[in-house]
Amino acid sequence: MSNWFLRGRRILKIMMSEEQTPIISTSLPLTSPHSSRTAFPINDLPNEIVWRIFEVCVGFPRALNPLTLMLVCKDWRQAVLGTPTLWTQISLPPYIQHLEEKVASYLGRSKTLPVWAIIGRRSSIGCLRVITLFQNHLERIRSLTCVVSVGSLDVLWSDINKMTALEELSMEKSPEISPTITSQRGNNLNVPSLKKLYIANVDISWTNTILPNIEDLQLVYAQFQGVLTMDRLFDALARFTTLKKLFIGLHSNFLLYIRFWDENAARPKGPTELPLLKELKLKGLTDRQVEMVLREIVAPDVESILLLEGKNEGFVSERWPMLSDSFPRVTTPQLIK
Amino acid sequence: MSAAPQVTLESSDGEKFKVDKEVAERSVLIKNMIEDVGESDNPIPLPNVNASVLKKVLEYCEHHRGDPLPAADADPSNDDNRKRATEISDWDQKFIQVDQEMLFEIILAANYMDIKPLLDVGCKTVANMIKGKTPEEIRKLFNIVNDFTPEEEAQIKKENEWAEDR
Repeated sequence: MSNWFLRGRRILKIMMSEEQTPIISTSLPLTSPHSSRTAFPINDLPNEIVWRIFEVCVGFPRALNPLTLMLVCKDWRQAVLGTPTLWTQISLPPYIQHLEEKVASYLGRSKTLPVWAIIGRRSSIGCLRVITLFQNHLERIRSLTCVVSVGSLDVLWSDINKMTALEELSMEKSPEISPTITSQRGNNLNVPSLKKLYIANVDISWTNTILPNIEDLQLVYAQFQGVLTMDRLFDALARFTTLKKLFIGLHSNFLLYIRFWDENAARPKGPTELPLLKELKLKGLTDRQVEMVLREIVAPDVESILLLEGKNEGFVSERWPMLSDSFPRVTTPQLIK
Repeated sequence: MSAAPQVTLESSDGEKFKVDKEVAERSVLIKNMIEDVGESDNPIPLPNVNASVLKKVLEYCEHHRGDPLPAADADPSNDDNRKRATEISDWDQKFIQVDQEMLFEIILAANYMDIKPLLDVGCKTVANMIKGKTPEEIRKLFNIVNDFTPEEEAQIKKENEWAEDR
């Protein structure tokens, strides 16, 4: 039987958060459950519904500061403090003043729940400072988004490998640095829990990457030692048998930094099988490069191929005839010239 | 072709509604009751829902009769689920444009009758009403009494000033 069943109406109960005392001064009186009763029944809703409403308010995309809700009335303050899910998205813009307090409060109030950390652009030292604040909670990080400087990368890689529950990782190098300059010590990414990886202009040592559950891989200017070596990438892809979405994107100004195998021959190690692949996106590759990529991927269930800044529609139709207009089940490859 | 099986629902104020079983079974509560009791000509009592609210709820169920049922174990932390957290379809938005009292009655009914998609629409609507407002505006919106003293309010702000960093 559903847990919603037979709850009926009841007054919003005060949540006695364990942390209430240290966070809110004890000089504040305990609230009466009727202290902020309204003529309107919002505070008559069951707790679970009020929590759900609050979650949507502060949820993704983040729209409301939990503090706003806390200042409405005592009942709401208690409900906000007693709802750990309201404190799981930890957004740390570059220049915040109360970094330590914010991280500690969010980590404390979210109890043991998984957290989503968004770290704004920082220097190496700044990045190290942030990660240090998470040191005892690395295994709680479910999602990490960060804009990093070159030096920060080396700080981050080893800690990322300690995030044993990490499912989403988005790393982007600071935009002020030329896309052709990358960290020279890209580490071996070894995160078995990872399902979604987005990297922009960040080095990855594909040869040693261990991502056995990766489903969604997005690479934008992803390089190794300044060059995206497609052969190495395909070596890695061959191990990513769980992959459902793949995006390889390059800026046309930087085609010099992509290195293929001999274009007149098949890839020496043979085609790469991606049995679960449904969606493939390629951006910024030349016609020839697209053709080379498509010839080396065996993906029998692919439903959508999106070519951005390319001219290969005819080839795609030939390689995967099910992707023609006459097959309405799939997204027809789009051509953006 | 035989007519679709129907059931009769009875509101708290005694009004009876004859609806297709498929429509009524958008409510997990009713679905379970039918499974437990078996099909019967007796009306199914809904003592927590009055006729005007039940009529609205059934309008929602009728419109969504063919929709796939939500997965019981949908992971709310899933990125796509989170992104969908504030989305409400055009029809649902028009449907839920009711006065606040009716809105809360619909939420309570959806909760009682266990119609999760309707409960979500209600919660999202209330959340959207709250978003972008100051505490004072929220109090005014819901007629909530500010039971903080100015000193308490200042103290909470001071103790949570880190929360202003966004």
